[in-house]
Amino acid sequence: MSLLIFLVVCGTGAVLGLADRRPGRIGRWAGPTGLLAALVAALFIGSQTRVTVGDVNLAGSEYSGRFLACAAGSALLACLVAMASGWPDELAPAALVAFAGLAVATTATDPFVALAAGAASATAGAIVVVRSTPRGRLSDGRLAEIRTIALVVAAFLLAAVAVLRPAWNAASDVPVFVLAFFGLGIAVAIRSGAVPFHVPAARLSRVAVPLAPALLLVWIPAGVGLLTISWSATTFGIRSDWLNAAGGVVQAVAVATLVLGALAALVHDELEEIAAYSILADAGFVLLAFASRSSAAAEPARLWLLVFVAAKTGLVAWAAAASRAFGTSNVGRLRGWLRRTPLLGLALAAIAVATLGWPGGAVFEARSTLIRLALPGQLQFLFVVATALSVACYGRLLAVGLLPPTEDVATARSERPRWAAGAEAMTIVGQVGNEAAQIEAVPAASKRRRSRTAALALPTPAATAAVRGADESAGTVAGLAAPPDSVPDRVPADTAQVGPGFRHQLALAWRFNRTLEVSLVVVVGVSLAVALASGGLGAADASRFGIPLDAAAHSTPTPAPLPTPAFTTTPLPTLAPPATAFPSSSVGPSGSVAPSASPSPVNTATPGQSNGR
Amino acid sequence: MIQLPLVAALATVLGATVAVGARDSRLVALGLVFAMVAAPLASSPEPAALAIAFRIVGALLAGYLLVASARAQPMSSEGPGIGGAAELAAAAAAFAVGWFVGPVKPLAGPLAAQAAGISLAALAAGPLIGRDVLRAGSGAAVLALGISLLLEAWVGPASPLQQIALTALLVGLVGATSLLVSPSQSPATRRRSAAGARGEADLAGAADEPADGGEAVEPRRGDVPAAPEAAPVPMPNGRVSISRSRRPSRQAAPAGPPDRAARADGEAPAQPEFPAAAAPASTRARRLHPREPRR
Repeated sequence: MSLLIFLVVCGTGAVLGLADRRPGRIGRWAGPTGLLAALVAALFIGSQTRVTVGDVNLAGSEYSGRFLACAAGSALLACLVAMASGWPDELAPAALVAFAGLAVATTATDPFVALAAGAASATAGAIVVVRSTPRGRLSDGRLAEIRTIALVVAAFLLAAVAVLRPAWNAASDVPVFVLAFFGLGIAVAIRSGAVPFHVPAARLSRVAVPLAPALLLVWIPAGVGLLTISWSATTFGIRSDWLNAAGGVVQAVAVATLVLGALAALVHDELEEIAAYSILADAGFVLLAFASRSSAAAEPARLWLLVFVAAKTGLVAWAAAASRAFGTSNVGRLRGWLRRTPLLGLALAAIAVATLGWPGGAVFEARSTLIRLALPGQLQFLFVVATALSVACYGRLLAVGLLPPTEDVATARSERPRWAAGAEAMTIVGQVGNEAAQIEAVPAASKRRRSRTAALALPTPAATAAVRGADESAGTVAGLAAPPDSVPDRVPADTAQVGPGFRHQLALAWRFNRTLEVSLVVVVGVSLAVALASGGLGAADASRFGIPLDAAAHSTPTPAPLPTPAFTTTPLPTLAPPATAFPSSSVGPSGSVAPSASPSPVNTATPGQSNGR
Repeated sequence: MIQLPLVAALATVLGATVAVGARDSRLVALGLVFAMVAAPLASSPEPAALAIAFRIVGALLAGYLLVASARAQPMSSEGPGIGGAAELAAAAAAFAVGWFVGPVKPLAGPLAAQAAGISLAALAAGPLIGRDVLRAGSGAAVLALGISLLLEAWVGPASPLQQIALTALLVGLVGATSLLVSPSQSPATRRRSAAGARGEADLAGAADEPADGGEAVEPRRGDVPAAPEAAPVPMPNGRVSISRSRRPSRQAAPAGPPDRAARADGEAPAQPEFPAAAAPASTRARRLHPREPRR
């Protein structure tokens, strides 16, 4: 039932959000409300969740529930940050469309349905691409997006052809598997923005709406990667030279992405580009999991995908929050940001910890396991290299924040609760008529503070302007829905540290300090990522079990290895469906895998390996 | 006896040819709808009525999305680079290849579906390589349709859930295309994109950055700069003429009747009142003679 609610909520929210995007209309709230409802519904998706409508059969699992909840929660975090830093109307509906497709893909027991739904979810990326005719044809974001979508769709459908295994009229169907493997790998690489295909990803800040990298580089690639690694261990576990060559290509792409992506994140100066390169560098681990073609890689890859979604969404949100707070995204002009926004600094440190982990931690072990399984021994040092580059990237940002602040940073409003102009004016409006009583209400106020309070009690033009400004930037939910201010909050010249009391002052400072609000939202989201990185919130348990597609993949007969001698009179074994069915499933006449009556997720955990638990 | 799968397969190929070969977006939508409606009928046994109805509804929705995006601003694609007839010939050749090759034996579906699938895959290659977003999107939809036909030929008829998933995928593809070619982005996003672009331009000192988000607009071939507001020109009969011509010279020139009246009086035709230098220059300067190489 919860899965059906999730699908209905996603569909309704997406339709309403896309249909009516005028300010103040219901469609504008449909996206965030739908995400919140989807998050709640996803939390109830478990191994007992079933949706059967006619011939339609969807079965949930612990991991699919955690993955969808993680994605919906991350999207909600991004939307909350977006409300304050430039609300793109397209982000929430696009996320809902993508999550609806991923929900079907991660719960479908039919391989073709899962792959088609995964491909359909990838089409949601078009919603967040800015429709403008570009100057240069090479930088046409629309063309890059539609080509990426077409490639993902073609690769997934061809993979469906391969895994459904028609009766090929050839001695061996290995070439089909090689093509499917290569297509899936390239599709994941292009969708993730892996290094040879990284240019559109790096230009997303110019060709897509704000915070679009969260959708295009994190949520959709994570879902696509989850579907992809479900097949890598069993379906593509064929010993073939051609398949090894294709695996080598995918490994090379993954290694280049790991190293060059982290290096690019280190040398770029725009926060959006740094975030994009950092994301695509970490997406290299998904490619490594796919290239390893090992069952042992499934569990760490699934855990890594959960952390990847939460932590990298946090990084996108952090970049948007920092850009919004200081009015610039250039690292050179963000010197001293940490002094003004220490909570954002804490969030960045937490993002680094969640992404990289710590020795013995779940995500650290997952990353190292993926490297160990996917790369030969002489390339194991790349784990240290990638980690060092990532540490250097985060360290650079933190070090820049500790430098003396630039003018942009110094004039921006900090996170420190202070008696803002809006709060002053609001207090003034409330106090007109009883100035004396209000002045007396100031506890332990010095003479100077009393006099300033009395002076502020006069309804001056400045105070009127402040009231107007307060109306525009009023916090809380209603204020968040208002069109955001594109310029950063500036500290008023005359900021008085007076008020009716510390608690009231703190409450009003919270209401009128948008920077503090956004920073706290980012911190909360990132703390969830840290919890996931430690294996908490059920992440480690859920990662041991796969999605129903894993069960279908494991019920698929593993192809027998091809014999090496070619000149033999005995026919080569093919991957045609065998006559005997497996106990948990049955192979139909067309080669499609029919789910068993009670499809239970397959525990693919390697004995003795529990990811830090 | 002519079988339904063969007719449906031919109709699918015909619709796909129109979709990837037409220049008008409405014709593209019509071709896509035709192909998407005919494709499920190419399988044998043919799907249930409910599944066919779902596919038809999905095809109509996809076509509506494309037409609706074209309603806001007329769109046209570049058309096939090799010409419509050549593209039709290529589709026919691919259909013949698909008819005679046998990668799967025995086939689980009709041979016509395999031939149509290969034909559609061949048709989609050109648009996906090209640089037109509308053609690339229609090519992607045609490719997905072709692979689905191959699946039905090689693996067997699709189940109802597979039909639903395939319909959702096709609608998503066409919807994505219509979104990408449509200028109808939300006003708030346009405003913020413009603000962001202005901010970046200010920061970088790049005066040529546009205010409509993303990057500057390059005038395409045949584009005419927006004409200035046409000034009313008094006519001899006391009325006022406002030229609606898009050509700047027509807009800036005096109206026709005074010229004709002057000619009738035997005078020389009136010259335009604006100097020649004031006439807008052509959008694309074309160098007829190459510059001499430097020594």
